[in-house]
Amino acid sequence: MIQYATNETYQDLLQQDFAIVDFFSDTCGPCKVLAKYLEEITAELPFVNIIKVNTSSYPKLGRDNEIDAVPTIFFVRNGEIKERIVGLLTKDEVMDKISEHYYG
Amino acid sequence: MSNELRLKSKLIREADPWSVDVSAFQIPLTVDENRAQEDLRNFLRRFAETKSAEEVADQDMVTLSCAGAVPRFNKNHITVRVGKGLFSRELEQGMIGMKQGETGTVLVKGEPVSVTIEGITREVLPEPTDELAARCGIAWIHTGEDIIKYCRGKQFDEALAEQGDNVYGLLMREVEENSAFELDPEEVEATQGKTLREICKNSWAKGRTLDEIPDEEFRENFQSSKEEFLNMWAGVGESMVRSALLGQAMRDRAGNPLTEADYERYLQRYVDMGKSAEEAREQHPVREFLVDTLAGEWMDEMERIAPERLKEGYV
Repeated sequence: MIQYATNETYQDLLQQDFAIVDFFSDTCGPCKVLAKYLEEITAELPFVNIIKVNTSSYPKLGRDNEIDAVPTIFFVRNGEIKERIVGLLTKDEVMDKISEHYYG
Repeated sequence: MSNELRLKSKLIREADPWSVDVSAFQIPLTVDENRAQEDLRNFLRRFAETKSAEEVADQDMVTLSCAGAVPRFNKNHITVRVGKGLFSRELEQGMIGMKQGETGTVLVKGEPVSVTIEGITREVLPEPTDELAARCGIAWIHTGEDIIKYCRGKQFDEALAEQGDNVYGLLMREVEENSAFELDPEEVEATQGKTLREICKNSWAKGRTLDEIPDEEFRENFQSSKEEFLNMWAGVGESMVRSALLGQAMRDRAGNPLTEADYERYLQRYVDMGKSAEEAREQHPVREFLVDTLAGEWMDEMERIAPERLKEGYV
């Protein structure tokens, strides 16, 4: 499932079994490519929750999470950030990270 | 009728982008049938219905708990897409045929893993029919055959996109290098200066000119000295004017040269942003309008042609 975070909902959304947080901005090309991969992934693996954070609309969330560049993604298991990665990943790389952090 | 506007620089000879050798970037594409099936399944998944199942089959979503010697296989209530291999290909294959509620042993790398199947969800994928095509929301998809063509074409589109930027750069470089120009120094210098001003305006420099920014501050913010920066941007003005001349030739062929009326419309954008007509005209002289518009149009055309050129070599 894809959910869009706001300043108010962000912390609650993190408390899911497994989530990928996608910090993006409207004008970033690689973010659009990553968004397409994440849409495909959540269709294939419905237990992967995608939390989208638009850093243009919610700069506070960007600042609080020390986001210097987009896309940045977090892999989160039960509220704990297992890994943060800056830059575009391929779909296979995201799948490998799911394997590592959800099943690892 | 409005007067025609021309660059002062001249195009003496124009190279043809359709004759540039792009063969180095053309790779034959053979469709990977497994990937095509996967893409079709992902497409159909958007319209799938889900139902509970009694027995695990390939591609089912299965919730399970497992116990084994390896920590990875000591898990409660995890979900697995059977056949994806994200958890363990061997374990996923070994679960196929197990029933809801059943506990069984699967060998993974020779070690026993006890698996309890807690839930099985199966997607019922629709067939790629004309009826589905009609409601899929993609303008050119009208039939079931179109859906299959669309999914097979994804590999082609990705390969084109990957190579398209390379070919775009090659076309621009080759056409500019193989054409001949007579550049007006004043036009080039003004274009170069404008580019540098724009860079300063749009960054941390906050509208100061290069001269006004202390060397140390420049290096801190730009990770290069002013001299290195100027060397990097040397030639940008020339390149822009060359691109603009090629754009002008393109418009000439279409019988649609830029006119004073086009310039007036261009200025109006700045007036709409709050400048007076005089300010707009002074700050955005006609040569800027010509170079920006014509160079931009030519680059757009090369970007359009790049994937067209690549298609020639695909199978």
